[in-house]
Amino acid sequence: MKGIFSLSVVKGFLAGLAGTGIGMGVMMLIRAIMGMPAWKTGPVVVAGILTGVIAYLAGLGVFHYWFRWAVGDEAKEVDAPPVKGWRRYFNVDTNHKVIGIQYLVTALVFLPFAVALQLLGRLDLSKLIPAISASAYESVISTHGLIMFFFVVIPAFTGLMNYLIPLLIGARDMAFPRLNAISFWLLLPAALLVTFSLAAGGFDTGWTVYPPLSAAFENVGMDMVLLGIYIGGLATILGSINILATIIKMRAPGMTYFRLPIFVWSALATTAMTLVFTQFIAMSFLMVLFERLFGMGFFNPQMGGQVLLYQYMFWFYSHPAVYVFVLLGLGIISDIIPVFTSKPLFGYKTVALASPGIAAGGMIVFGHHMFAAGMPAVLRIPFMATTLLVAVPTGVKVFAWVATMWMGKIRLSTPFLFVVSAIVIFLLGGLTGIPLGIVPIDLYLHDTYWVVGHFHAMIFGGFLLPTMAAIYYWFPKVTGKMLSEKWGKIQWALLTLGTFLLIIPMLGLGVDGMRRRVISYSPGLNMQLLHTLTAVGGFLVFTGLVVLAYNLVISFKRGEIAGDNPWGGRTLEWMVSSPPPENNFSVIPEVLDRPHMHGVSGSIHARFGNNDNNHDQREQGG
Amino acid sequence: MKSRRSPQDWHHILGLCLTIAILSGSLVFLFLHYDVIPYSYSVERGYIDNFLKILLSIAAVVFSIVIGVLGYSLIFFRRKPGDKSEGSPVRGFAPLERAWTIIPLIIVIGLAIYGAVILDKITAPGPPQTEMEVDVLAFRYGWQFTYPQYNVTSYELNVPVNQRILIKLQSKDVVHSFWVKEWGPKQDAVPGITTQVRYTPTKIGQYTVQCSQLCGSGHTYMTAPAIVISTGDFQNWVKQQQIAKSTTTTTTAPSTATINLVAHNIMFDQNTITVSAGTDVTINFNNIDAQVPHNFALYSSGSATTGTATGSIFVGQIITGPSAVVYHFKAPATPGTYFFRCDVHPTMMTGTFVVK
Repeated sequence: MKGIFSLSVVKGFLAGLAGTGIGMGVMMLIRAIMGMPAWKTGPVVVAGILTGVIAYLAGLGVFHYWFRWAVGDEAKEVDAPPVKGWRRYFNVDTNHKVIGIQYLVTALVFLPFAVALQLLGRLDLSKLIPAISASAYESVISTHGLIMFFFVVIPAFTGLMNYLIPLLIGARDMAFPRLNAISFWLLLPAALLVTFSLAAGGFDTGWTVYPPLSAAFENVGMDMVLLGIYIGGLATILGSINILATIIKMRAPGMTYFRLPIFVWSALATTAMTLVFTQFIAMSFLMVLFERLFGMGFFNPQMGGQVLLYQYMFWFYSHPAVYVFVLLGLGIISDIIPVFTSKPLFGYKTVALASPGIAAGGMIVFGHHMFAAGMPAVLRIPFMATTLLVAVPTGVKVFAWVATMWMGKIRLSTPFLFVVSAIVIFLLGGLTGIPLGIVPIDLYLHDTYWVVGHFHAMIFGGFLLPTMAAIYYWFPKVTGKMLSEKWGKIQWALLTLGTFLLIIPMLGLGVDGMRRRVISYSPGLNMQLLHTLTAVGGFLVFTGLVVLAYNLVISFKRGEIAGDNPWGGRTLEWMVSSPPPENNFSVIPEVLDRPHMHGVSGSIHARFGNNDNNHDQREQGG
Repeated sequence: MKSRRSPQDWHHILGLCLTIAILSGSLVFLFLHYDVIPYSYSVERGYIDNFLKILLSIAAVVFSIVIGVLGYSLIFFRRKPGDKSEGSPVRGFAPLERAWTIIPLIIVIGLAIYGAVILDKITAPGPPQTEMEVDVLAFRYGWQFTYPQYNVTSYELNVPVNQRILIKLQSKDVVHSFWVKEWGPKQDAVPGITTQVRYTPTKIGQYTVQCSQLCGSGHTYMTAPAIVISTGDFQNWVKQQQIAKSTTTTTTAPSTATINLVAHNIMFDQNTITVSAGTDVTINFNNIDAQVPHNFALYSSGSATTGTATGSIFVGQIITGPSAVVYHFKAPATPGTYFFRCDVHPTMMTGTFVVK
């Protein structure tokens, strides 16, 4: 029991509590001295949150190394992990594999929670439970959205990038291990703030937080969310710096850009976007917070502000953000198909270049979220053009995938099954996005369930299903054990069926004119069946997640031993043991050719050295 | 890359083409003949619906091609048990890669151009005399319609059929959005600016304006009737509104203390009711909100912010609209300021009950 206080997370949490109390107390004191009533929910809570987060970071120990360097102490270059085993995952640890697992577990904990939140809303709309209040419903769906974006999708992908990138490029760790650790630990207060905003009155505005509604909304839940996302955004930006530096500077000899797995290309494009654009959601949220706390008028026309300014700033991030949510999933698909078809990826170079192509295109389409918003009418036309253009590199990827499968030798293992479902759903999502990109049609479909169906198809096809594929594909590398194929296929069936049942009725509801974010609908519209089907789909998805949890636990304990390369993959991570050694590669491999060159005679992806002193001449592929 | 194809490959390619043809043919047929978006009752909806059908047909063909290749491969290109060899070492085929980049590029450019043409058709201003202007004010949680050329204001949107309407939208508080789905496009109402949208309704009937931008807890019920009538009926309606405007109505309580109270769009039509102490009060309560329950209840004190009230004096029966009920109770004997509200919507429907 005493040992529990040596864990960073416990120390950080307690310091955070103390810091919050102190911050709130200081703010109340300042207010009292200035002659105002000591307690006002907004300023006092925000002050408490800010000091609490700083105290939490200090308590965790992330500032320890820099503090000692600043006061002139001799500091070790690389910190040895102070604890061993499971305790490492509750501590500030700089090893990229530990941090990767920390991110992934965080994502997998918040995923069922966020799904359950929305299931409450679905039950309400299907009229299967007594109606909940409008405020509760709006808070639930808004929180569902934000938690999914910032505490499920982004951490899951960041976790996969953290774990895999050094292994995929032949490096021993990330470029900035300490910064890496801080990025992860910043996520927890952000997640707690958004989650507990529900207890503080929630926020009624949808995840898009448009002012003037968000500036006027009374409950402090709104302030908690604004700060929580600001902190989460900071974590993302720091993580992006790390990943970009690692990929650009730490590739093994011979690993040219056009010998990188597509996952790494996708990581490059993704982190380039998060590095540059996250600031805009942080700024827009901060400006709303200042309107609330200090009465400033950025978006208040009566004070000379403009309502639409918020929307431009917000969507300038939030559109590239959705490419952040899917690009890595597309990279995972591109890297898994060759392994299970025993064929090289068709058109590797075009697929590789399509990732930055999608990112570049995705920067200039954001106005398509505002076609009905009241922006200058003629501005809508260029945004329509760019939105449709970005479909081209996306389509290139989809065509390359199925071309890879054609005349291959397909193994229907669980990772590949998830990839197949992902492709179908992603394609459906992309095709339902085309009508939304066309202004006159969007003016009908905007703010209806067609949009909700579209983006859930994109996220299931571009994030959830590929992440499941990734889990089944790389779990053997991470743990040394195989996940159960039987439970994997059961989970696949539940998730796939659930996804279709969830999404297709939403498209139907959308064309019937069902608005988003409403708590009920006229019975005469005959929508109850579609809402019920959507709810059933959601429950199947949730059940699939329960099966995943079960599979993870039993396979970790009793799974079949995996060995170094159970799938016959031709990328660098399969050249080391499962799990990998602490520093990944004792000898850095030399890369000779592209990955995934199955069946191409004479092609070797990489080997461990050629000089006479090194007798361990292992080769990857050939 | 293989330079010579074996007969087996042609076998597969033929089978694939057949699969794609059947799939896309059936889907395209479905989309062109099925009424995908029902209730198309305006000129603008006509353009939108036709374009959507074209898009769905193109989507059906693309979908069929990809699913065709995918499905066919999953069935016919499986690894046979015991076969340890690898698949065919094809790394790419530049002409195919060029084709599947350039053809979609041409298609999307074509769609963008056509989209601009259709957008122009549904939004371009017509000659001023041919358009009837209706100024719409959006507020939490209702709509107010003003006809500047007739000097008429109403809470119901009445328009003549086959007449192009120019809606000029303003918002009193937060971002709302004006949408009658049978008429097609929607348009946000933004505080500080005036936005515009145009419609030409083609079918007589009763429809609903629905707010389509989350504006708070009353968003779901922020609706108003949108009624399309013949030109003659419309002129009659305008005359009626003008006559009604010229007679004054008062809500101060006459000696018999009878009050007409209306609940509409989650609001009472009066914020203050005044009666003399101890009189017998009759409230003719009219609930216009369809499917929404309301009541009138009187308390010693209460708060809209917290939604609480204490010291109940009279709690009226809750009725679901559209319906009306008559409440009878005795006003408090002690003069003062009391609090009334709808118990179902305690934070949105409140007022002051003054006893003199």
